[in-house]
Amino acid sequence: MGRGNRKRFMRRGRTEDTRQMLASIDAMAVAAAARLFEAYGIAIVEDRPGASASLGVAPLVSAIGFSSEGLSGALILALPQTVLERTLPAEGANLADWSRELANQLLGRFKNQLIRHGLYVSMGLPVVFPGDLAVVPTSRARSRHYVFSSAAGPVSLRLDMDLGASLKLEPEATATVIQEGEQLFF
Amino acid sequence: MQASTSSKPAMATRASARSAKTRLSVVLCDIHMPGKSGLELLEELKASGANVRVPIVMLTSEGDPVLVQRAKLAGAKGWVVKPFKAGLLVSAIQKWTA
Repeated sequence: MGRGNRKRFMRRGRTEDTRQMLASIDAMAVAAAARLFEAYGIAIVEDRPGASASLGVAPLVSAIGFSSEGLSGALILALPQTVLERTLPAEGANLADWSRELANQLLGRFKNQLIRHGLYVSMGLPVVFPGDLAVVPTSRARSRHYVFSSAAGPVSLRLDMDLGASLKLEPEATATVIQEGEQLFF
Repeated sequence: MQASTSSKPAMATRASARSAKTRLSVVLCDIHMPGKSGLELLEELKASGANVRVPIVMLTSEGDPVLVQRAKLAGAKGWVVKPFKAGLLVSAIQKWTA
């Protein structure tokens, strides 16, 4: 194989790897979101790719960063007031705090799935602001947008990511991850 | 656009200062907090002061076994991944504080 052909072949290989990794990340993000909202009493279903959600009055956006050697970025969650109120675990709790907490728990679930694929990421602190996803510019190389429907209203999630050259997702393994809802006492 | 990290900034730092003067029965502590992480607060409380023996439970969205091990070595009494059902945790707290 000539040098030009070899370069093209390697580039095609990398593109294919990236495509597969993004498909895995999509599956993990969608599963994490579905299980999180199910745990708080609402079923969400992913809409077709490219769908956009109208979040109605006074939606809140929460964003939380994550980083590791191969993968870094931000998880951005936009929710209408109806979804926040329906999932609120304690009456009268602050919706902005709850919005932040949901983003935090969603990233926790996503992180737990990444650990099962051999990737350990660090989580940042969530921030919250009014608006929808359009108020957050995309500054990362890859942006994945997922829109879900639910009886309480739409759920809009975005993952803005930089995929490093060293990023590798192992086949799903039985890494010891403490599951959501699990309680360990020592 | 305004953004904030918490309605109670530097919560862990304030908790740390307060616990130096107050004897506590139990501590429920998140990992990700502004100012100081829950693991730092745990290590600080267990190192010295009035609350060296207080049971501390980490309440978090994290299931990372590396962090769990660090908390266990630092003296945490438990690790609970949110969302959780209160019954088991309440029973454990009642047992420790009886």
